[in-house]
Amino acid sequence: MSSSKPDIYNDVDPFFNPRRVALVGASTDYRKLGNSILMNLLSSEIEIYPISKSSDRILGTKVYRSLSEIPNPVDLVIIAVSAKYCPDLMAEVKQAGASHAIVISGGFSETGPQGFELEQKLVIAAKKAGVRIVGPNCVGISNSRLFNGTFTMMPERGNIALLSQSGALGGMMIYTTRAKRIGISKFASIGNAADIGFVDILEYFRNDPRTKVIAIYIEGVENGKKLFESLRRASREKPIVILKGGRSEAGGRATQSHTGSLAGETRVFDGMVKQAGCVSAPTLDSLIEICKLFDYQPLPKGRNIGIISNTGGAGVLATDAASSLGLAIPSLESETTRELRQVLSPMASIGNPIDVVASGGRREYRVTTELLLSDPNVDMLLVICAVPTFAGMTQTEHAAGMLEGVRSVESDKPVVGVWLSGDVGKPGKDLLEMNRIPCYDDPFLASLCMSKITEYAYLLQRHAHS
Amino acid sequence: MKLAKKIFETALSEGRTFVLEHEAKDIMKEYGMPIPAYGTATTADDAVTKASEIGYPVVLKILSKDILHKTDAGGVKLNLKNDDEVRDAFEEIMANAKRYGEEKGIEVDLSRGVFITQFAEMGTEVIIGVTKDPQFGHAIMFGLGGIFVEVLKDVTFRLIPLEEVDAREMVREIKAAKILDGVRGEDPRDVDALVKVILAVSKMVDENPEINEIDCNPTFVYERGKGVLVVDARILIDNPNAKSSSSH
Repeated sequence: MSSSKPDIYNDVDPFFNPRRVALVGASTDYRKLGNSILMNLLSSEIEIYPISKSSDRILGTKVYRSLSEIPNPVDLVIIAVSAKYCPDLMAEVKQAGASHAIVISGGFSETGPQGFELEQKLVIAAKKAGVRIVGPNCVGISNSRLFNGTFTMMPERGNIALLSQSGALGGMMIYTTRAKRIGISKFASIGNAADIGFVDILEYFRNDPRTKVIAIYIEGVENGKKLFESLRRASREKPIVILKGGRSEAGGRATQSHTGSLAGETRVFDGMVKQAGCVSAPTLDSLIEICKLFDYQPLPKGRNIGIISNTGGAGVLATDAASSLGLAIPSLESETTRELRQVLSPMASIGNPIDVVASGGRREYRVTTELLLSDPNVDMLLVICAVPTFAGMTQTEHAAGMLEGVRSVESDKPVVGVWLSGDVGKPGKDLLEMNRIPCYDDPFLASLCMSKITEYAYLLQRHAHS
Repeated sequence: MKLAKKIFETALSEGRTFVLEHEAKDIMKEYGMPIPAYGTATTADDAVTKASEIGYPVVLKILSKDILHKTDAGGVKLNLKNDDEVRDAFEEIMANAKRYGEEKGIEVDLSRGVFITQFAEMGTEVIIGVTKDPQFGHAIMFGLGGIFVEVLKDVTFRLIPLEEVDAREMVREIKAAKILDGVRGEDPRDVDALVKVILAVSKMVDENPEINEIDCNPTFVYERGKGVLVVDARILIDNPNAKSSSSH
């Protein structure tokens, strides 16, 4: 909130950093959103004022009859009552001290002409009262370090900001990031974006010191030029990963009936993303995984990838995937191969991709990791392990060896793992992830993520020169 | 650019949302785009004089505010090698255009005669185009011509205006990019000249936002150092009087 931040930052900040929040539509009924939101708010670090006409206490908390009864001025009001009541609430929001409201309620432009009219009414009422609104028809906003103003789960603390045009999908993505233990800085679902729009939130995330990476799910755009400019500005400061919905013709139609927004021409959109210096994610899963890699690891200096495996087959798959995605599989320095020859089994394959063979354990993973990270021909490292359940090896020794190798070299090259063997590989995988080394189940996904951070590194460099 | 504005005004005053080929090429020349030598002629004699100035072989095309799709109207004659062929072609084009008008039940204006241009030597065929996206505004397209664009849809877009790095990326990122490196013993194509044309189109549209669509199709790219030629050019403009102007 420093004065050097642009106006839009200060306009948007109270949505993410409120001190006192009122909830209109608090409910004792666990089947209602007003109950879930209250439960989330009560486990937050801020003062909460539930508003309800039907109960005196909900979830053990004192309830107020209306916004005007709240003893202290609030700075954010969350609204979860029927659409028809929303426009009239705007003046009360302002009187309660707030210039910011999140309208969770649905039943607006997404439902047809009548809803559209109601939404216009809401916007006019909000403008007249001097209230900025997020929504309507949205999941809400959460700030993992402060409060959860949604009806979905609170994400783990982290550095990735999540901006979703689809509310439910955005909400589900939080569950996924929790299951994968990926930290989120802030989450925003903008719903119908009647007032605060995509670009406003994007500008906010660009200026947010807690956000290192921005993940975007987008379907249609209203003001493409503005979006492009905003993406281009932001991508020079932090990586932006975009998943675009509504690509196929059938998907395109689904978009029209979904958030009531327009879906841009796919090819123009794809060109725009590159021109703006952002990277695109092909799938929901990869959107999160690419962001995780950006968050955990440094950017590569080039596109040469070193590959280590204890199974020749997985090494081949990784090589195929990496080269099909535009990464190069370089030859190693003769010094590197000479040392590998001394350390590894005579059965090992010491050209890139390296196969330490099944007998390779902690020591082999450590030394090979060290040698490859020290090789000037290698810009990034992919380590694969099919964890053996034989020959007396432990489930985590390969991961431990790799980790020791990474630590002893202290390189600034990105490193990822691919731990095969399902549950047997899980402890090793967890060990790597806990140490901020992304670890995948499939060589293709690992290569895809690597190719995306490489693309971004290139785009960033390109900006520096242009 | 003043020239473009004047041409667009004339077109609209004649009820056209397309500009005639020599007009399109006049505008493109102003923006430094390489165009094969051309002229116009209203009589057969005139056409012969212009053709010899340009140098054989030449191409003749109908120039009329009433004909957008010239080939459909029998209004294009290629690879004319001497005065006689030009004279015959001129008469034939006029007759075809007249008949085309009769079939369509319109009176075709023949007063502008024909467009004459050098018959360009075949190069690697590419297409550079402009479209107006409802969300993103003007976007420029690049692709290899013929089957690559028509069947494989191997094209790429950027928003206008774009920078040189963007233009270079467009050329690199189509799937058939390797063809521009030279295949089957050919020398690499003149990508630098191609990038300049892409940037010129971007500048032209940026300065003349009333442009709705552009096709530079085909554009021939020659080997490195030998440049590019925009062989056929079409510019479609907005009709400020119509709510939504039809583009074709």
